[in-house]
Amino acid sequence: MAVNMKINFAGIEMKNPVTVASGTFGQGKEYSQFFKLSELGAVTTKGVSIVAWNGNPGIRIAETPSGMLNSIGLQNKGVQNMIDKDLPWLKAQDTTVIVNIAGHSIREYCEVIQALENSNAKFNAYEVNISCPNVDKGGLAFGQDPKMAAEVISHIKEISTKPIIAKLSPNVTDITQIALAVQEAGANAVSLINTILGMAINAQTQTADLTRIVGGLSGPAVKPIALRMIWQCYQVLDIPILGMGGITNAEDAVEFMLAGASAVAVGTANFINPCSSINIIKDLEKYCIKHGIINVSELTGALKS
Amino acid sequence: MTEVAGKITFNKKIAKDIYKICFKVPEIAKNVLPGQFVHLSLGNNNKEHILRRPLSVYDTDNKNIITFIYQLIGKGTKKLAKVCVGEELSLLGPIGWFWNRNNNATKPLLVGAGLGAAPLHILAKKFSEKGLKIDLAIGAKNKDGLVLLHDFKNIENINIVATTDDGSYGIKGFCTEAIKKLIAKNSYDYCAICGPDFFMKTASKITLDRGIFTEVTTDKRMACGLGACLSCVVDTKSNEKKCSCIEGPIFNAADIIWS
Repeated sequence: MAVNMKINFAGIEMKNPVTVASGTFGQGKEYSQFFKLSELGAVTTKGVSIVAWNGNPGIRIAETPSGMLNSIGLQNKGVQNMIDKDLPWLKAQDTTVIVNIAGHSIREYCEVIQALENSNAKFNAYEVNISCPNVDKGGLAFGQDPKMAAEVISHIKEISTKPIIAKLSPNVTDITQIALAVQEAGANAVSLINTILGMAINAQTQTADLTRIVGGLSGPAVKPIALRMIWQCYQVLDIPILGMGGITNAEDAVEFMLAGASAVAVGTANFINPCSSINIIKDLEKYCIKHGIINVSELTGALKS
Repeated sequence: MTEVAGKITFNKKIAKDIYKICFKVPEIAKNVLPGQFVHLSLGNNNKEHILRRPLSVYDTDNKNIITFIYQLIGKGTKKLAKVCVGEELSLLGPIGWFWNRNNNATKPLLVGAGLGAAPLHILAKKFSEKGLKIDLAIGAKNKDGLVLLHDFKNIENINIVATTDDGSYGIKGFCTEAIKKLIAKNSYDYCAICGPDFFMKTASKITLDRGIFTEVTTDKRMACGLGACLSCVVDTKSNEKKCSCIEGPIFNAADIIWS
């Protein structure tokens, strides 16, 4: 019997629950040589800002046990380039598109949204990266303070016509506080987790591995933390969860859904194997068949006690 | 570019901390060009070292077998040294721009510092097959660093000037001095340089100042190897950050801003 892999995630029609994590997939072109992007549930773009950002200098990545640190610094060519080049190309790939946006102030986030809203670009939703530092508040990340997180989302909500997914930072004491705050502010969904702050040191050279010293940890090492946070948020939220953090195979994806995710994103695993995301989709379907699951959405929150 | 399993046919130490490894992988062996690299997985179920390693292709038989040279530097290469003949690893490639991008070299000078000469090997072979006369300046700290010399000597039409800092082989002195002497005596229309960054910076300044079109190869940490993640960017004089995977690894030396 065939499995229904379709989901409606916060108003976004997805042919399956699998997307890719922003920043690990470019805008999709580089991976399209390996598979058709239309096979993904959605493509989530690299974070885009109002003007081009150069990103961080020097060494931007470090491998760590079962993971990696990155301090890319959200390098991107700015929203106009996305509107002119990337989004038309993505539309032609016949895939659901989630545009990830970044900013250093509430005004910047709103400017990006406004530019996208005013354009003819075709896409399906916004994912708001609130792990960016708020330069108006001394550099504290938006996502580390419930009030700031809510403020960003409520401002964006006023001007956007598409579903808003708030991408949460795990670098907080209680993620459910942030999750509830953005839900209250009007987010249609949350995605978590973003990367966890970490550091690597080279004992031979006695220096920090990354030029910017501290970076974001991702990969299999973060999975237990991601699962815990998703499970915690699922207990308190009404809005759906897009879960990510170390998913490398379909079993991982199932675990995230059991914990409470309605959809999942594959990130660092794309570097291990460019076909990770579509392999997960195929194997997730096989899992459902094997376990007599008729609609993949049955897995969400189905953790047994 | 393709992702394919390659079977290891050879993996042995050739000098202290230096290994040669060969893979049977016809899809890459037939298509790889000098200067390109392969992004090598350290094991499909390897959750400890999840990132691939970019390795410059040292040689190809143009049919089945590709060869890499690698040095034991970190945990990844130490793990690679333990992989056995007959085992399979996933390879992604060939990736990147190749040497002599404009395809107009007729009088080439190749310059390599120690193991840095490795990416030049397959280029030297191709130039030789085209009937070109090649000059190679290869330098190292000492004789042990010139472990690749033997393979270069087997190439026809190659003139090698070897230098060691301590004089244990060849001419005592720095490779950069050998470059200066060669370009004073001969005229070249192309130069390919490979070695540590500080070496490529110094050596390329010498050749660029003489108006010789010069290419260098960059060696940056990589994650995706596809141009998506932006881990491996280099700064260029055209003010752009370029990915050293798909927009490199070979660059026009005149365009690079050395960090």
